[in-house]
Order: sequence, then structure tokens, then C-alpha cells
Amino acid sequence: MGNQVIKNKEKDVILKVENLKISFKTQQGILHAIRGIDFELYRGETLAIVGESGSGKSVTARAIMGLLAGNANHESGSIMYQGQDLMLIPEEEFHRIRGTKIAMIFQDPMSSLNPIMRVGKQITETLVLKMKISKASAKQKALELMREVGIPEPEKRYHQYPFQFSGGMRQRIVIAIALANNAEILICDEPTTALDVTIQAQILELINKIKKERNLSVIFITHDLGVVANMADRALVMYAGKVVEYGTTNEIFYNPKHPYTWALLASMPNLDTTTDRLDAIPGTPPNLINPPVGDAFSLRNKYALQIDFEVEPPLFKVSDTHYAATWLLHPDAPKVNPPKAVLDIMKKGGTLNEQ
Amino acid sequence: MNSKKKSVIDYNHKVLEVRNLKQYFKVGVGNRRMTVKAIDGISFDIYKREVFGLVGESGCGKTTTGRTIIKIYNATDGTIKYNGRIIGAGLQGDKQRIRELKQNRKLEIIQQNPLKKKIYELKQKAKSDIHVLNDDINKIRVQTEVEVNKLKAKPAEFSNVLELALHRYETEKNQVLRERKIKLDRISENDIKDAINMYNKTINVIKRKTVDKSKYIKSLQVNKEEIEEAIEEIKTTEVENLNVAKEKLLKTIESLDPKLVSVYEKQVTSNNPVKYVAHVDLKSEIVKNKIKEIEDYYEKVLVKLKSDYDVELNEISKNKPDKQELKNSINELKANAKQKIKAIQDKINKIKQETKAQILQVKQDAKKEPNKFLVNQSEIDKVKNKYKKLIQEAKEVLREHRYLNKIKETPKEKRARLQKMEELKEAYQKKIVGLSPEAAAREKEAYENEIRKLNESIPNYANTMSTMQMVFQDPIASLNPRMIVKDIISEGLIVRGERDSKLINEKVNKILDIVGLTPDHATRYPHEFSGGQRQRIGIARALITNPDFVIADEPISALDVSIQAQILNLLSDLKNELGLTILFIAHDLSVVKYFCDRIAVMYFGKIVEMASSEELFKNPLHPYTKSLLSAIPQPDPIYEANRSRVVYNPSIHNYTIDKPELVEITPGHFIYANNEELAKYKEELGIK
Repeated sequence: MGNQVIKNKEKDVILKVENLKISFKTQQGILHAIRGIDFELYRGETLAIVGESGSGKSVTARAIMGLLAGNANHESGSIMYQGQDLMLIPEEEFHRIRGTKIAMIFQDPMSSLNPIMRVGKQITETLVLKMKISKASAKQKALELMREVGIPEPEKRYHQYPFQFSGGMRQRIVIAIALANNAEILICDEPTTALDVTIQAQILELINKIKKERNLSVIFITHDLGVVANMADRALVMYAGKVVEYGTTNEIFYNPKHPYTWALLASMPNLDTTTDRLDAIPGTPPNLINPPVGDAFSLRNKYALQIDFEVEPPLFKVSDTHYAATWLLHPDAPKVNPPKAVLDIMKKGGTLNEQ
Repeated sequence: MNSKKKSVIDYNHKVLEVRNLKQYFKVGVGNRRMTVKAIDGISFDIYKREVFGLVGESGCGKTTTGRTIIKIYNATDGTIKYNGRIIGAGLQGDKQRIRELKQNRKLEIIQQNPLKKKIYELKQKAKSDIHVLNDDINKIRVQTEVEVNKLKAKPAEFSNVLELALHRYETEKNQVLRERKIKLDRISENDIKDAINMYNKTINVIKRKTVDKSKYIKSLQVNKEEIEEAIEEIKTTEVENLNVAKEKLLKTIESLDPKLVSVYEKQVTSNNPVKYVAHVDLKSEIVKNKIKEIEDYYEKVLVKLKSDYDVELNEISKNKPDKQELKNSINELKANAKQKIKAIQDKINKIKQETKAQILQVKQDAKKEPNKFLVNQSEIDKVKNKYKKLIQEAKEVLREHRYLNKIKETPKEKRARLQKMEELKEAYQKKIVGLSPEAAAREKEAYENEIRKLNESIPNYANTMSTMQMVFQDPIASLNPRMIVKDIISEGLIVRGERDSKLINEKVNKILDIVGLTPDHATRYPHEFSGGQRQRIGIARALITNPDFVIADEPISALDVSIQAQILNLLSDLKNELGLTILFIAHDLSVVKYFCDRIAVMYFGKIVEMASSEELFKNPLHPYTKSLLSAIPQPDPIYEANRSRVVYNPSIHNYTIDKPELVEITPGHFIYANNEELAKYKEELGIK
């Protein structure tokens, strides 16, 4: 699956986010949605961004796509792509990148398609506008794309409306639209959350297949850790607008270090869960209008130390590819054991963990 | 897992019995009118304090099942028994039964009448024969139509191919033309720039040289007049030269791009003598050559394209369908079909005539030998009596179901109640004879109590259904945004007839406490809460009437990850504390495995497999269950790397002859299969 970590190959950074801070002006005050995140996307890899709603994963994706809402304020930082800073270039310039170089699949296939436009037109629209090819050849290309994403009888389906498609088929159309202009970065914002398990499996397989065929770099946003394990080469755990832990998928699952990652792994039952009660995360995520002092997760964290409430932890290095922002990794911190459910998952990693 | 939980399942007490439940929806109008079988005959039991899970994809009917049980819809067929009382019954089956009984009665009566029996048999035989033949006719018609359509589509296909070829040719040609234009543009642009640069340089040179010459002449010690004459001459030559240069430049530009001349004319204003004219000339020559080169190249490309296209056209037109030929073959096909159909229709007519003749014959025989065709009237009366009773019973059941469905007292129940009241009254009247006034008053009170109890036991919606509650999927859509939390939660109590506002407040506060909210939340509106808290309000609303049985319709699928675990924990706590029985509808198999005692897997309105959760995950038998299980992603990269998805293909089942049903393969493990499959599954499990 997606776990071939690009270790030996030279890592080719295609997109680099540095110290990005974005806030929104709301009636209640200034909401700090992203509070300084850094990451790199390598060519041909799948990077998963995990977190609950409000952690800033979708805002990150929208910032990369240049689709931030009008009340957004870019405080600092940069998104470097092909030597330009995507946060600074004017809208006219962005037209050349959005859709043609960086494409996006949205969460809800029901609302991201135009209900009164035939799907064929929705696919060819971008081809005609951006690639400047004639309508007839755009149709041929669209039919090819529909075949590629696995829609049976594309000639017939081409002339149908979105309501005549099932959820999975609609998501396939959305993927076809995203692929139309041969983008090299694909951002998937929870593409399977609204779908059934079996359809989800099909869509994930489709994304993996297309990624391999076209050598795409994928940013995959989700809150389902099972999907992360399936799809990602590397994973980024976000909480309250910050990256709390990142590393390769194996490191995140078999050697997690941050209490929030532990809590995420332990809170949902998997097929091997036998405990009576789940280790639910108490409370709700903090309000980012007044972000808490110190570690944002400390209020819901049963492993919180005194220092967590006072000073924000820096990213501690675990290995070359694995970093976590928790004081527990400080040499002076007391040793704690992760919850049992996490230990169970770590055990499955077994030998991999020791390496 | 069950043993660890505090609440123990009572397997002797069935809370809910669902039998052969069907729910059909009629959709569409006119020709598109069709029946959607949302639930197609499912049966299951739910025991006291059990969590029963319904799993399936969207559209498999799990939500419809929940809603039919709580009577948001009326069932089409089947019965739902709740705590021993039928609360929902579909009438389709009852009506069907009455129809069948009438049909059977007719058949049995005919059996007793030899003449009618004979005629009936003859007619039946003719009917079945004609039916087969009619099928043949339909087959031929359909087949012919398909073939004719194929033939008819040929010209369109051909023109499509032609169009495609033309389109391809034109796109390529346009591409080439565009490229040529771009290249030519580039040349002329660069060369115009070069020419202007050169012009500017040369006029500078000319000017400088004029000045130099003037200086030189001035420096010569000759008389003033001569000097002036010489300078005058130099200046005129300069002007001439500059003019020549300008003209040359303009000519060059014109040769490159005539449209630009006027633009550059304005820029080129100075006039000075020139020496570089030849250079510009040369330059223009080079440009001309280049242009020629490019044009020649693209001319060749275009010619090649054209020739290729011609070749392709030739190739294509070889396959051009001949219209006359097509017409002929279509006519031939149609004629053939007509002939065949005619033959079959002749056969049908023949059969009809034969049957008619036979019937006539039989009738004549009956006239000739009346003894052989005696009608057994006594037997017929017996049959009639038998069926009269049966049909009356069936009608009684139908009537009863009709009342039960509306949760009303059935006539039977009413009769029983009135009788009971009568008895009580008699007993009371006998008792009070010769009693002291105090004793009589006591007796009267007791009697009135009894009567009130009886009257209260008349079933209605409030007292039958209030112990059954539902938690909905979407916590945002299922709460009225204009009502405060207290009103939302207490609505159930008010519907039941509770009017004491103090008691209501007390109960609301208590229930808010139970679900993990605080009493001061009661006066807020739903939008002031987060998703998890809203779902808690939904649960509180369900619990306020003290239910025994809760239908949880995907209560966590619309919630955030970190909140889902909180709600699951809350539900399992409540289950243990209040002894709830839960019907848990979900699509997330990991959650269902964790939370439920027994699980039913639904596929297109049918239960395909039902077992305890451990058994189902250990020994999944039905291919659909296997495919569902193989689709769940797990937070375990190694497992994920090795997981391969099983695809379920419903066409592997051959149910044409051997009809399937839900059978118990091992104790507690039900599977939807026919005999052949059952044997296979048994082999899989290793039992004989």
C-alpha cells in the first residue's frame, strides 16, 4: 500500500510550509486558527494531516489552495512552491497554479458539485478554461478521465446530473475534475468521511492507484487513523493550530510520543478492543480566540506536567524523521507509560519498533 | 465480553419481536411509478438489557427499520411486538391471505363438480401453452429490435468516425498554423527591434561624422565662404542619408509586418546622412530567407497532414455503409420476425380453437351421460362452510391488526374489558348488601379504583410508546433551534400529560446531570452547544420518559473523533445504570463490535447474517459480511499493508430454483442462504 517510505531516494521537496500563522477576524475577536506550523511535502509521497475539527487542518489546505475566507489574516510565514511564496502572489498569478498545479478534492461530494449542471460540463469546464482546448477534444479527455476513475458507461453518464449519481460515484466525478489538468499536488480534504465503508475502501484504492500512475504528491486530511495507516507515508498530528507530532506512519503508530496522539489512538474502538470503557478525551478543544498559555492540550491531558501549563513545549527530536512537541520528552521529565490501548497497538509494531 | 458488563441480559424476556417486517415505498409517477423494497421481510428478537446492532451500507434499510419500529412509518407487512403487544402490523399479508383463501375455495369447489373441473383443466392447459408462446413472441420482438437498432446505428457511427477524423485533422492543422504564426511573429518582432537598433546606431554615426567633418573643415585655414559652402553641402548629404535610412527602415518593417509601419514612423523622426542602408537591406534579406524557410517547413507539414488525413479518409470510407443495403437488411429482419410471429400466432389461434372444441365436446358428453358428471353438492357445502369460517377468522385478524396498528383497543379487547367491568359491578353490588355505611364506602372506593385501573389500561400512544425512544443521527438537525433545551427535553413529559412545572424542572435537571450537562444549560438554545453536547441533549430528550428501549440511529457518526468516545461511554454507562435495551444502528463495524452484544448485517432490505458480535467477527460466513469486514481500515500500518479487500458480487448467488431463507446454522448464528449454500457454509465451519 502507501507505506513505501522514500528513504533511499533523494527527497525532493515540492512544497514547503514555514512558520505559517493565520488568524480570522470574527465578531468575538481574533481567532488564531493556525499558530505557526512547519512542514515539507516530498515529491511522490502521501502526507496525512490528522486532527479533530477546529485543529486547523482544513485551513492549512485552503491556505495552500489560496481559498482562504475574506476575514482571514496572514500573520507570518510562507508556503514555498516552485520558488514562489503562495501567500504573497497576486490572485491573477494564482489562477495559473490553482487547479492546474495544485488540485483539491473536497469533503462533501453532495455539495461540491453544481446540482444544475451536467457532470460532463463540470469536468470539461476546467479543461476549456485553463488548457484552452476545444470543446470536442475536451469531451474526449473527460470521457477518458471518467473511465480512469472507474465510472461505467461514461458516454451515458457524461450527460447526467449529479443527483443521478450515488455518493461514491459523485466523489469519483470530483476526483476526475481534480485530475483534469494534470496537477502535481493533490489535496484531499476528508474525501471519504461522507461515504460508506465499502465505498470508502474503493475511493482510497482509486486515489492510491492514481497517485502511483501519475506520481502525485498527496496531502491527505482526515480524522480516521485507520485511513492514515492505509494511505500515508508520513503523518502530521495537529492540535489547536499547531503540529504536535510528526513522523513516518510507522513511527506515529508504533512509537507515538505525544499524549494527544495516544489519546486519539486510544479513544476509538478498533476490532481488537476488549476493554469495558474507552479512554475518551475529556472536554472539548480549546477556544482559539484566547489560546491557552503553555501546551494547548494540557487541559485535557491526564499526563500534563506543571510546566505544560506555563511554557509551550518545543518540538523534541525522536529520530531523524520523527518529532513531537511534549515536555515528556525532556530529559528531566518523569517516565510515563502510554494507555493500554496504545501499548496494544505498539506491540503489533513489535520488531519494527526496536529498529 | 458480556460477562464484564454490569447489566445482564435476560434471555427469557423478549422486548421486541419483529416478524417478517416489510416496508415498501411507492415512488415516482406515471410510467416511472415503482415500488422500492426498503425492508424486505426481516425477523429478529431483542432481549431485555441487550444491545442489538444493525449494520449495513447506506440504503440497506437500517434506518427505515428503526423508524418503522418506532412508528414513524406504518409497516407494509409483518408484525412488530413490543413487550408482548403488537404495536405495528402491516396489512398487506392479511389481505393476501384472504385473497388466497378465496382462490383456494374456488378451486376446491370446482374439484367437486366434474364438468367444471374438466373445463377448468382444459382452460388452464391452454392458458399455460399460450403463455409460453407469448413469451416466445416477446423474445423475438426484443431480439429483432436490438438487431435493427444495431443496423440503424451504423450510419451514425460512420459519420461519428468521419467527424472524429475531421476534428483530429483540424485540431492538428490549427496547432501547426498556430505554431507557425508564433514563430513568424517572433522573427518579425526581433528583427524589427534589430532594425531599429541598427538605425539608431547608424544615425548616431552619421551625426557624429557630420560633426567631425564640420570640425575638420573649420580647422582648415580656408576662407569663410568656402567653409560655409562645404558645411552646407555636408548637411544636405546628411539629411539625404538620414531620409534614405528612414525609408529603408520603414521598408524593412513593412516587409516584416505592414501593420507596424505607422507606429514606427512616429518614432523615426530624425534625418541624417547614412551609410548603413546596405546592412538593413541585408538584414531584410536574411529575414525573408528565414520566413521562407519556416513557411516552407510548415507547408510541408501541412501537406503531410493533409495527405495523412486523405489516406485515413480513404481507409474510413471503405467501411461506408450502403444505405440501400442497410434498408434491405432491416426490412429482411423485420419480415423474418413478422413471419415467425405470424406462425406462433397461428399456433395460438389453433390452440384456442382446439380448446373451444374440446370444451364443447365435454359439454355434449355431459348432456349425453349426466350420470358421469354428477355434482357432489354436500361436499361443496362442506367446503363452503370450512372456508367461510377461515375467511372470517382472517378478516378478524385483519381488523385486529388495523386497530393495533393505530394503537387502539381492538373490539375483542373492548368486549373483554366491558365484560370485566360488568362482573366487577355485579360482585360489588352483591358485596355491599347489608354492610355498614363505612364498610360500604371502603368497598365503593376499592371498586372505583378497579374501574379506573381498567380504564387507564386502554392502550393509546402515550402509555404504549413512551417507553420506546429514539436518538437521532444528526444532533444539529434533530433539535429545534427555536426551543430552549428545557423545552426540548421536557416535551415528552408534556405530551404524556405531565403539567406540574416544578416536577418537570426537577426531572429535567436530573436528566441533564445524568448525561453530563449542568442545570444552567437548560435555559440555553441548541446553537450555543458543541456537537457532542447537542448529542447529549438528544440523549437526555430520549431518556426523560424513563424508557426501557432506545433506538439509537447512528448516534455518533456525525460527531468529532474525540467526542465519539465520550458519547459511547455515556451510552454504555446509561445502559448499565438504567438497564436499557438498545437497538444500535451504525455503519462503523469497529464501534458495533465494541458496543453490541448481537449484530445483524443488512443488505438491500434483508438480514443476511445475524450472530453474537464475537461469533460474527470470528466466523463471518456470508460473502457480504466478509467484504464489509475486509473494508474496515485499522490504525495499524502493517495490518493495512497486508489487508486485501474482498469484493462482494451479489450475482454469485443462484436463487432461481432453491429459495434462500434465514436459517440458524449454529446456535445463535443465523445466515441467509439456500440449502446448497448452507452445506457449503457448514463445511466452512467444520460441522457436518
